[in-house]
Amino acid sequence: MRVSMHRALPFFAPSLAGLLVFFLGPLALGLPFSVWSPARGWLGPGPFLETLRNPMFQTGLENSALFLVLCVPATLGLALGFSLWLNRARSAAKWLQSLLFLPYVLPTVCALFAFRWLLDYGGVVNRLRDLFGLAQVAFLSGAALRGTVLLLFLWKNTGFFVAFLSTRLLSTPRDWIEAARLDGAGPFRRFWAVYLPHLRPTLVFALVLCAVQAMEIFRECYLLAGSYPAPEVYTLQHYLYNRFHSGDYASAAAALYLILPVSAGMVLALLKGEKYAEA
Amino acid sequence: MHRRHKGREAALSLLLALPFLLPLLLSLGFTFLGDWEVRQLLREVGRYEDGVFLPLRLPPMEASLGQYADVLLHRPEILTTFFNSLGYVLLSVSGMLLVAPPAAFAFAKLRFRGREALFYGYVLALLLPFQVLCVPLTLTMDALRLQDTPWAIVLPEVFSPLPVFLLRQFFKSVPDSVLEAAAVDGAPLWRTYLQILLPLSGPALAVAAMLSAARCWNLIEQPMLFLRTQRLHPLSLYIHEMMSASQPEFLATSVLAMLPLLLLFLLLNDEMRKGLSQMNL
Repeated sequence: MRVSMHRALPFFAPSLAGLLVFFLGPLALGLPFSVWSPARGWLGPGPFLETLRNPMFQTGLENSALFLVLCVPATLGLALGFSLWLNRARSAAKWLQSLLFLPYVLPTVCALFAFRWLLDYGGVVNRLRDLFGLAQVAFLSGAALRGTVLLLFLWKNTGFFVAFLSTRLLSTPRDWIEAARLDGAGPFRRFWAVYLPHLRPTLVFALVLCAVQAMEIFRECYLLAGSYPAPEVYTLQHYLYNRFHSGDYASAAAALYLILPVSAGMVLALLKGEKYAEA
Repeated sequence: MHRRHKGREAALSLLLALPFLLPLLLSLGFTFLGDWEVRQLLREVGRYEDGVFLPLRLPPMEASLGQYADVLLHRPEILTTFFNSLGYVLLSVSGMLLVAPPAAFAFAKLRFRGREALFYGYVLALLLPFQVLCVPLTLTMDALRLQDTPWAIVLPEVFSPLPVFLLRQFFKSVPDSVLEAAAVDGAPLWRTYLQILLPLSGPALAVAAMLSAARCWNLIEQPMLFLRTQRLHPLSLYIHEMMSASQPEFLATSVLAMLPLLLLFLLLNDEMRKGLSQMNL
């Protein structure tokens, strides 16, 4: 319904005020700190250039991008697989959906020790590997840690997206499916021509949320490996966090503004995607 | 069909769900280990020696509820932090339920100038991980004198962009004709919202409340940055600290920490399922 701004304002004003104070305001506030410091005065573009050249920043950038590229398709792919299974096994859909959702709502810290126990150098998985004559793998340090972080991410987030995707899938109009059946469409063709178009808006929505979660993967890395982890799981947020803790506000703020255009670009792409999905 | 068919589907589904449940079941299992078993386990985890494996301690050799007794009787901090967390969640969720739905309604159903640009701000905030904002947010909290108060935890959760984003999705699915009919009757906008739209949105609000409660209950970085006073710490941070210090009490505390969310989840499950099916545009 078309209304004027002043009629709509009371509805979103409180929310927008909070968003400005606690999210967008601080974002803008960072800018002066990237070029000016209370102790040293005007800094010029120095912090930006230093940050760009800093090898740890580069490592962080690479890892964050890598996690984004790995996590989103892996999570959504797995969630889609589960949803297709639930679409078949309708009798089990309700409780399986709920069980899968649990890791998302329960505290990750609480299950962390179980992961350690399973994946420790002397843990259950390595014990099994040993039984089959395979060498022990250090899942919790060095290069393999990347895989472990991804695993923890999948464990936590898959169920969340199964809830969205399978609910949507289950609401596919029966007559579309019947019509496709009568036309002799096989399961693959049915997925492609009936289920997928119906799923499209939800997929775009899930894509946004999954990207959000993947950007927060610092959490998993931090919980598994602490503030100064192996370079393989050193994310941008580690860089920001550690700079911040060592009092180097200028570098932290500069890094923030170097990341911002990437985030903003993603937002634009996603909103475009949403429009396209609704069209 | 179909009884056997159903049995097979259920069995296969359970098998598929097992990897997701296993860590949770293991966490529960560890809490029944006796004192010396736990200490041995914690000593042995994290050793890097070839051919040396952790003792397999499940099921426990001497099952006991000793860990729970320890936690509940000798660790008053756990109760304090538990109630802190509960308070933070209650304040965050109720605040969010006041602030987010009307905004989501405006962005979904009202067409006004600047709507797109404003909503862009929400999605941008949504995509910024907390750690990216930690520097300027700390300065903001200092400036507002919120540092080291519960509000530093609660307010960012109240104004989190995620519920607005989710609820907007739901309000979009409400047909325009509902609004237009009310407008023709001359009802003011806020009445249409309160009397027609809000009563419809119970299930969607359940989804938003559940996600918001889970987020708030599990916060770690925020309290670490904003709360210096130990007395104000939430349970999630306390567990993290205990675990980092390898104190065996963290096992039983972890399970206790899952209970409120599990309870809320069971309580809201049916509403949430309804909400999810309505929310899909």
